[in-house]
Amino acid sequence: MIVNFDNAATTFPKPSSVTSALYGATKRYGGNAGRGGHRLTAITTEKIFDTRQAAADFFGAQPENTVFTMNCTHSLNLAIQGIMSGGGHIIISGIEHNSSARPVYALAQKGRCTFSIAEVGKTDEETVNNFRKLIRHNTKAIVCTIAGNVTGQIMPYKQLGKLCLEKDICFIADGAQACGVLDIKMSDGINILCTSGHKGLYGPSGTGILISDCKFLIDPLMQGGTGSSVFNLKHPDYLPDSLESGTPNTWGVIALKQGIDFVARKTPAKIYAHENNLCSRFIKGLEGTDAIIYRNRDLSYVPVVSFNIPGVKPEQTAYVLDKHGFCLRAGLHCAPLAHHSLGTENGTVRFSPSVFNNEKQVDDLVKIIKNKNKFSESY
Amino acid sequence: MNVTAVLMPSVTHALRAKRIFSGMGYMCEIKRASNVSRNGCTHYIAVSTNTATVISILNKNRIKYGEILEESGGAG
Repeated sequence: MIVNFDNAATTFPKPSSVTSALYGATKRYGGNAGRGGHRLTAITTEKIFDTRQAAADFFGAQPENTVFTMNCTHSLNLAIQGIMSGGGHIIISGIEHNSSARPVYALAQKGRCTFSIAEVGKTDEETVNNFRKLIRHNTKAIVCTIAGNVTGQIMPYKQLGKLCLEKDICFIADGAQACGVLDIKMSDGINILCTSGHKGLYGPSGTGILISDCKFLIDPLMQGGTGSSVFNLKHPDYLPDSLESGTPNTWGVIALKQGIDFVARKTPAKIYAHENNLCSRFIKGLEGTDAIIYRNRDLSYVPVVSFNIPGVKPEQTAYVLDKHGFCLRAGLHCAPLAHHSLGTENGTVRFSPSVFNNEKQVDDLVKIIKNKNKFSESY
Repeated sequence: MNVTAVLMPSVTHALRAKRIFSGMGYMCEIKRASNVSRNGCTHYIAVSTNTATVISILNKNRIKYGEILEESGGAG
């Protein structure tokens, strides 16, 4: 028996409609989308567009402003490096994943931008004010996760969107942990939404999405074949072609539509309610133990719970749980800034359910965590 | 029947236009432009209505488009 409680990294299992679509795509959609005019290309191009339309509808965007990428890290790199190509100042939050923090840091190391880190406050208002205080005359962008990947804390993204609008700054939102469980729309004040296809949207790995409202020009990181404007050596400057050089993950993108449809049918609100119930059950189950839960009653969270067992290293906890069939991620979760903010330099263990988990699985997990003898086993 | 042919910046724009025109009851086909030496490898849409209507609908839906290739009074 394997129970996956590491869905914040990638959801598994996938809906059967996704696996069927992926397999079906390998049998039917063998053309190179947008290249050439023969029927194999034409039907493949239509299927890619179907996913583009589904993603655009889901997030309240236009299909031609919806770009397919490899993953959320790819989307964030396109956004951050593309917006900051002319230099300037950028602000990130103190709980950003390395997918945002590292490209910003790398640009700064090369002398191509400066950056500031806004501390996450005890309230949303304090957090927004921390961002506001860091804005300079040359600040070009704010990058903020909609929900942190370590504790699941929901950031005040709508307020940050308003702040960016007020200051004419580009708001780049990392939706990796939020899309699929929160009803995220571009009208929330987001200029560029970056997300993965393989997490809350239940698509295959190797799929990601970038959506722009086209207010800010994103300078492409790559130039190459797009199947359009072929005569010009100058790369197209319009979306999606400007950011989609080369052949895409055709089959993954086609299957991603089924994931988006799956989430849209269930609705993010119902998925959130189910997963949040499992998180509450998990937390309640650990009441009366000395387990540390990294949550603050005054804040909101997506269905992710970070915890530690005092005296047991997170990696050891995950190792023991894995031996009992439960897959949970331990460590820094690629977000050292968040652990610095949290004071958990040794990391945490992260419980992140999906729509396919159930209460019995949570109860069985809690039973094992409560049996401290199991954690004294050799590691 | 009038047919208007419009070059599109990319196949994505062409597909969006096609679905809008089809949804409005117009016949719309996506074709590859044959004059490669002039236009490069690109797509155009052929819509079963006059140019003014096509342009109006494209503008209303904020769809980028390129050159109007032709308006013919034949069957297209």
